[in-house]
Amino acid sequence: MSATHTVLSPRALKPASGSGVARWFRALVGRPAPRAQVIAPTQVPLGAELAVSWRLDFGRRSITNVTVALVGSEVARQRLSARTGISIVTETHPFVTLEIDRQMPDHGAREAHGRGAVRAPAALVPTVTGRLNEIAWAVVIEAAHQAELVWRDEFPLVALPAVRP
Amino acid sequence: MSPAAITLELAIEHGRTAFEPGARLGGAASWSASTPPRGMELRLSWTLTGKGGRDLRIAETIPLPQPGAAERRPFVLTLPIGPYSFRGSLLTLAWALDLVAQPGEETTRVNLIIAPRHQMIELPHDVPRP
Repeated sequence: MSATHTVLSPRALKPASGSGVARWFRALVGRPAPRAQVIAPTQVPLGAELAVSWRLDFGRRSITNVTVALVGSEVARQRLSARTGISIVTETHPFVTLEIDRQMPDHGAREAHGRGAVRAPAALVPTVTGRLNEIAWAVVIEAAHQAELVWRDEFPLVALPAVRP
Repeated sequence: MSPAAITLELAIEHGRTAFEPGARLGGAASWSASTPPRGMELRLSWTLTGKGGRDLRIAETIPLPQPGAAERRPFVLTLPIGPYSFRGSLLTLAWALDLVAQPGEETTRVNLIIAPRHQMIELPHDVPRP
């Protein structure tokens, strides 16, 4: 890790849900999942501002509020052996949630979009990736109908150590 | 002292164990054996420990060439800028500096904190939703 960081230009972040196959299948059976796009730098030093623009197409689903946040999480994976085989249990604990934007789409709207910025505290921990454990940062979009969460996806990015004078 | 026995000691300047990321760490590695060890090295590493096990990463290895049977070698190293030492709900990240003798991997260790304001970061347990 170097002591200085190159500021990367914004680009479309890849969703954690990834697979286009599942999306294609849902579209095929007539219930396409909401489609989101997040434009932001793929790396941000802690303490620096992260500017995000986003768009969510939710089609005919009834969505009353959309929140966009920068979330830092602890992720611990545990391999469990059983007679039926080995499974991996993943436990996640968010340690910070910083709101970037919030929208209440008009009744009958089929999409929402917006932009916002947030500054991740320099005193928190940057991204750390291990085989089992990690500190993960992501822009998270949640779409809800009233209080019920309808859809959620994460767009991972890398939080770098704070740039020090 | 048996031929394999070796005494290892790792001392950090001013007895400090907590540092700013990127700081300079000075100290002295000492050892004493009946015969010269085949090799000696310093290993700076971190472990990220969770419920299911730990991830170990060696950040830097500093060989101490041509070790004698008993010696004291001063050293200086520049610490990396990350990752930071922290303690959270699921995970703990800890740094360590090891003095390792070969063969046999006899080791002595000093646990380190590398974090801003040279303080272990305590991650919040309960996070209010916006």
